[in-house]
Amino acid sequence: MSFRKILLFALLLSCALPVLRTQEQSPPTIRTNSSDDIILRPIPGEVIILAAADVQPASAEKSGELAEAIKTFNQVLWDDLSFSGFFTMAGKSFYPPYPIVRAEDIKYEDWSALPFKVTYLTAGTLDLNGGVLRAELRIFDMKQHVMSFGQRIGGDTDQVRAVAHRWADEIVYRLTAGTSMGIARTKIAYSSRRGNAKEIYVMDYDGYNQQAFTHNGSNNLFPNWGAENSHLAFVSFRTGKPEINIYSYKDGSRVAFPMFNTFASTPAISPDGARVVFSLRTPRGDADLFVSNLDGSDRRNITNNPAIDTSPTWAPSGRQIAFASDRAGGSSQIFICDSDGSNVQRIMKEGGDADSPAWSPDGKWLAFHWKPHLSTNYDIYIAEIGSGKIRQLTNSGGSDESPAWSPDGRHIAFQSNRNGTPQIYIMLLDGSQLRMITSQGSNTSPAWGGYFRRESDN
Amino acid sequence: MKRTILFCLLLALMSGGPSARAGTKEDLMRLSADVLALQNQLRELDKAYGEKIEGLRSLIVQLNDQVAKTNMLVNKVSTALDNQASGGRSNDQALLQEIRAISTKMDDSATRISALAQQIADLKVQAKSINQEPAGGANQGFSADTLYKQAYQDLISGNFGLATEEFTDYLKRFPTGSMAAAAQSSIGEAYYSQNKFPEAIAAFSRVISDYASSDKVATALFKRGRARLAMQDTENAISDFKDVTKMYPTAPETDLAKIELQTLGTGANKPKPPVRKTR
Amino acid sequence: MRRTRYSLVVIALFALSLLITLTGCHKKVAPPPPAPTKTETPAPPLAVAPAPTVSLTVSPDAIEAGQSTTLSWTSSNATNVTIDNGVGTVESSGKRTVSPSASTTYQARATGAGGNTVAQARVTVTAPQPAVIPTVNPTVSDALFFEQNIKDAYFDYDQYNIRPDAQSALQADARALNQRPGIRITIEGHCDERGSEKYNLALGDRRANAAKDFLVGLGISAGRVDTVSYGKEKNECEAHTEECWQKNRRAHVVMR
Repeated sequence: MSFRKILLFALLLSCALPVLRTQEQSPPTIRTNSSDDIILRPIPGEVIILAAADVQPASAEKSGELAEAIKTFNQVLWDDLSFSGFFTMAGKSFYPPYPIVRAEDIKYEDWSALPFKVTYLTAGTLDLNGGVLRAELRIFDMKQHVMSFGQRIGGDTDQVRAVAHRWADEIVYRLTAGTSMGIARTKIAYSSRRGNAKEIYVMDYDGYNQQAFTHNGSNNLFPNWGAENSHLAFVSFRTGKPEINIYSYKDGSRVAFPMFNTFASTPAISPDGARVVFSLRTPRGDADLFVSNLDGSDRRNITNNPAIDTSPTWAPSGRQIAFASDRAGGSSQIFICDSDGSNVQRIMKEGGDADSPAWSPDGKWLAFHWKPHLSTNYDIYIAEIGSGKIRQLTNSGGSDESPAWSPDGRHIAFQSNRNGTPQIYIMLLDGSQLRMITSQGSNTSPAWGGYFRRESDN
Repeated sequence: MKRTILFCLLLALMSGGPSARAGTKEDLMRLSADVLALQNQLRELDKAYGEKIEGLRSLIVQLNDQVAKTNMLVNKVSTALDNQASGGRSNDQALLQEIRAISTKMDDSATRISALAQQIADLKVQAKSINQEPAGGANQGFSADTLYKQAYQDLISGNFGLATEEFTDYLKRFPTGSMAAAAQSSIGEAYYSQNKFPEAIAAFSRVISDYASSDKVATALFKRGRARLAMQDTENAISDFKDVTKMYPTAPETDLAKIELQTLGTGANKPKPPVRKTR
Repeated sequence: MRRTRYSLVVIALFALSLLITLTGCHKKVAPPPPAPTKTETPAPPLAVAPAPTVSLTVSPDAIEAGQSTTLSWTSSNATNVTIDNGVGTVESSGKRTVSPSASTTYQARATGAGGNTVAQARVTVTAPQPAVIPTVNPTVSDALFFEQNIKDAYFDYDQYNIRPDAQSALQADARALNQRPGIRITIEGHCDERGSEKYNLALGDRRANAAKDFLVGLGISAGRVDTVSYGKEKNECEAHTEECWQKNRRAHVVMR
């Protein structure tokens, strides 16, 4: 692709982006192999209509910096709450025209006059003073006319987004009665080419705050998170051959995983954080799946098959592994086996070409990408473990690959080249709330991190 | 200065050898760029470091070790270059590998630093729940009491910056509240605890001027005197201590003030500025 | 306590700037090559000085042109030791690597208060072995020869078996490699853009290994052939046509 074409695409993209963010994509044509519909989006007992009033400045003094912060906060909060999929967001054009800060600012009779009944309302203030950002936020129960809960959140002046994410997570947690933790503070690791090399980057789930994790100027691929984000494993060509690299995410130190100087790929750390499964070349010349400790000791071949075995993923129980293999003749298919390699079962009866399986956090689904043989583009599918029911999740004109589950099991991240170069997309499982979250360079292979265990929560 | 040295290194390489050195030169240039980037990152870390974060101490120590090891490696490379220049036989491949090893160390250090910075950023977002308020009635948002209690909690737990904000907030909202004088005095106390003496003096002065009839003036006078002593402003300090004893003869601060005056008055001992130990 | 932590960061910064300056200082005040140890032998006016001794060996004593060998010598009672044929003044005992282009006799001379003495060692230099197939033009460099004679092998979609045209290419490669025993190669395995990244990385490895196995089967020593897979990360061309895809599905041979 010529440079000009790329530039044109980038321009088009930047124009299209705001449209993409606010509009919902129409649901994809469903391709199922059974008549009963699979419910993908569990909703709480009743529909929650949530109104998010703009936060106000805490004091009368006008500052450009504070105005910027407020604008960002309101936008981020809105996006986080919409993306959670738990709420029907009440459009701001309907709100009474006066600012809401304290409980006494809410005139319930004005809200009752709306064409819909708002269930909850969030409002609050933001203050920027002496290098400290302070937010004071509340959720009001619009039926009971009381404050349900509130929080004072503080941070540095450059942490507006983090503070908004924190509040969004608190709202999701409280309004789902603690059954679901919000994902607004989760991270996505991915492989990014911005020049000659592909480095591993980590970003906020919404695409902001992109930070390079590797800096070795070679190709770094297929990142994988350890349990509770303790580690990041990936494949690196920094020595010239594809080797497994495992780093602590807490302090960035490298785990002494051995180098094989042949071919090692697609690492996946077990749910208990003690073992890692990966693809490794055997003396035969093919690639088998091996399991070892995190430091490489006690290594066992669990597939021992002359076919190519790659792309393993653990079940959350740690007792099963799903992987891709061409042992069934020709193209790559998805299989499941026990963690010792026994009891191999094939997932899909159809032929075609499938890879990159990802096990859902509740253990019930496998996401993967699949295409009928010899067509050019993959789409994302999910298969129900046990029943084998298949559901198609994407149906774009491009190739959608490499799915990753959010830790709440309700969202998917994947890479797609539907708009030109491959970029990372996120969406709810039913295809709504689709967002493109990268745009610079070529971005592939997303891995969605888990919840962080935080001492700052109380 | 660093650039000159690296330039010399490059010159030594180039003068030494055949065109097969091209790879080595590129590697060295990448290395120098990496090192500069690493220094920048360390500087950023220093800036963000500000507050008291316990667990990262060991990580900084480990980072120092890594830098020291890298130092040794670079010395080795330098020696290899010297041997080259003096006519000894040294393998190009070996040199390249040495440089690659250094690059790897630098990459690893850079990864550690960004992980550290990430941890720091993470710890800085702090959230506290707001207590439930009774429905109807005192629907003031948060009551004066709650706000004052919150601020006081922060003061005694050492969150001086936050405490100052909250007390200031209180004063904005409730300038005539029952605890206004105390709030203003607490602001002075917060500054004093951080050894910010000019600000402390200003805050205590406001207690004395704005809340002249309150029972906090005695304390404010005395503490302002101590702050002035810390700033070597002995004359005004003495004046404050004398005012306390004159205007509030029964207050406990008077006894303390008298002791201060004695120490200052004898002149035999140099007055020791009251320096508070910070954590 | 805050101060100590601050100072740790400062130390880190300082150590970093130190390591830069240290290399510089190191460079600037680099000591000269180790000077030969001069033993001061105060000659007593009446005693007779012992005669110096020297011994010289060379190992290996027969090499091919272009290879190197090591001179080793020891001496005693000498204030000055020199070796001819371009070596020069040396320390009293030591080793030196030399690479003569023709057969040479090295002579070491040790001089001292008691006189001087010499020792000799001869190294025989033979011309390199003639090629097995006498069609080699000795003036073409290995790199140019490689470019002119080594071909890539191509594969079918999703396959790693060596099809007939790939066999011919690899057979030609084996012949060329036999002509130039000094050439070592890396076989890169590549795939076209259509497959999945993860699977393709493994498929590329399979292709590279299949090509290597074929070459080894034709008698090429396995130690000369390394393999690496790039999957679909390094495409030869970008078009979405069968022609371009076929170009990418290859075992690409490069010189190491």
